[in-house]
Amino acid sequence: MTPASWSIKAWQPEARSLIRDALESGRPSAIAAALDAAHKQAAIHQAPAFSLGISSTFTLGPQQPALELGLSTIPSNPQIVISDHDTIEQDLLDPASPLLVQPLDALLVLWRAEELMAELLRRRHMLSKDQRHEIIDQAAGRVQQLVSAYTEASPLPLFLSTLPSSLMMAGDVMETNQPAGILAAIARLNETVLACAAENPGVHVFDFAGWTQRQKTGWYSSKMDFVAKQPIAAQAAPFFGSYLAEHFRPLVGPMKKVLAVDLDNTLWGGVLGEDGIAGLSIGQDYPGKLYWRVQELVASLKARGVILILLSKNNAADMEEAFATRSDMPLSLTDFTVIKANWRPKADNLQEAIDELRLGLDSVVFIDDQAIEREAMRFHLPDVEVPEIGEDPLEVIEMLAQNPWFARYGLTDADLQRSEDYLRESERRKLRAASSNLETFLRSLEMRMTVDPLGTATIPRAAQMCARTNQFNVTTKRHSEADLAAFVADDGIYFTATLSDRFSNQGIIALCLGRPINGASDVREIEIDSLLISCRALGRGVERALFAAFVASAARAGYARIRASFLKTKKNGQCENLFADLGMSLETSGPDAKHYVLELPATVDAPDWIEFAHMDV
Amino acid sequence: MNNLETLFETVGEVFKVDPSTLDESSSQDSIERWDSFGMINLINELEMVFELNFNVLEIVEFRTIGIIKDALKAKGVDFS
Repeated sequence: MTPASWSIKAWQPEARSLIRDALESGRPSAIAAALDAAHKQAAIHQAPAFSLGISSTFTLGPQQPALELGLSTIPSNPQIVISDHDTIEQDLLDPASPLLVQPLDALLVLWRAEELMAELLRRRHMLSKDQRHEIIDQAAGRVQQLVSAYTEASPLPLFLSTLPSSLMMAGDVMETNQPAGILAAIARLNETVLACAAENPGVHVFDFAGWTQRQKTGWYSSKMDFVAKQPIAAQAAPFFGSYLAEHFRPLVGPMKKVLAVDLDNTLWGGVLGEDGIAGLSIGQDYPGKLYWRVQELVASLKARGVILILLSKNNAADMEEAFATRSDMPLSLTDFTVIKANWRPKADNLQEAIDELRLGLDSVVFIDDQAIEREAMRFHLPDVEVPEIGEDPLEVIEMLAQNPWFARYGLTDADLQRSEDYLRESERRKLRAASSNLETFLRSLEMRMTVDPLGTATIPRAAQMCARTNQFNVTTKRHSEADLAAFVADDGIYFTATLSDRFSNQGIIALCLGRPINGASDVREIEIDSLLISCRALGRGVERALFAAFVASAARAGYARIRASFLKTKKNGQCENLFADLGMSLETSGPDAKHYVLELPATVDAPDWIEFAHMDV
Repeated sequence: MNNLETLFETVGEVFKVDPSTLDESSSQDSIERWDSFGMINLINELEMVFELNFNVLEIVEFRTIGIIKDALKAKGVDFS
């Protein structure tokens, strides 16, 4: 099923065709155009707002429009906020995180083995069985700790993804047969996710793995996974969006309550009035088993509380005889709350049935194999949901099995009462109390930071960081390799920092360039020309540790004053108050720049959860 | 539309700039939305528009439209 078959019927035809283009091509520009058109539809602005926060271990940001487009195809006015820096604990436990400062309706965590158990995937040939077990236990423990810290603090529904199988690993025969191998590890983590959801009423499962198996065009791009850590293939991204739409539909609007279903060629093969009871196709063999399966699925919906209405153009007596004769079928007539078997228009019958039940037409889904019946229903009763399926029983089976209209998470009433437009103050206080959990987590990471003088070996990576880092970059000076080589030949304090923790070694994650100011003053001054940190290391106290290292080096080198500037760009807002937070004094301030000063000697306390390997710079 | 125009058009669509303001020297520095996110979308878009695949190592060099044009040319796209 494609999102095109969802509730976009209220959209203008041009917008619908843009959506179809976007889905067929997956081109980012087609997606952007369709999303622009979606935003212009009155239907979207009348729909309930739905705000989803996603914390992901892999890159998803560039695909945000595709995801929003998917969510626009259910009756919702969606907003998606993504944090995709593999900083899940910070995202979920720090009340000041980019996700939690937003007014959200739900939080989704997307993760994969590639990040959660990076060591296991990368060094698998070198690991002993015990080491493998240790990695798996740690990752499972991390999931459990995260969930218990989060649920103590936050009332927002949390959706944890299952982990997809690792395509890089598929077909590795040795690994498959390895005790504590990748397959076993992923199964264990998925069990942990399922158990967390089972034990906590506010925690639910999002079956990411299920989507990767279902996605027909191939979900994975190994190229973009290497280039940008963006595993979801461009062509698949809008389908992932529509999967989100299916999944979050129960949170967005009122769910359907009634399934109105046709009989001939829908619940059995053949036309009763022409083929007779003996000529009907329903049973254990092909093709009858297709209809058998349809009936089983309809019966299971009834068991979950969905009201069934039968709408059939047949003589009532013939139909009753057929159900009596074939009493072996999964459905019997008593399963239907209302039965309308006559020759009147189905819309009239349905209207009558719904009036009897005192329900709304917008709570009904109608399934019929005949296009003309579907069209007539849409025309006469536009509030009824009429999916564009029916002729092919396999499509009916897939739709009923995926059950998008009637889905429930087993949410409690409290969950269903969607949060106000913002987290209330009391909740924010609870979240703040949870930052002690964040600190516990940060401590448990056993972070180790190494500060090294900038040199030949590290200049290429440093120049790359200058070129790419936009967010946590105080001056955004794009120094080239040649610039950096010239700096280090001169006086000053220039260093890079690497960070590792018990999960992974992140490599070089920060750069700090201090250049002496010559002759400006009678005291020796040094200026922070650049200070930048890679996104994946944010929220851990790295900036404070880095600054402490810089202050200590500057004092050792005999400087009496540190100057620093924040130069505002469209992207670096999050470090606007960095220097003030670090204890520097604001000297001058303009709309686009702030200048700070710190007299030496000064002490800056580095967070004690980061261990310094050495500080000789 | 010839292939050069298609290239400018595509870059313009992805980064939301007027294609007529682009030339081969247009780069990450002159186009605001050409950041690391935009780059990923540009590559996906170009692969779909020109129906080809870039090698994983080529992508790192894509700093200007001219460089991308050369990469397309090497894959048989006609810019004569």
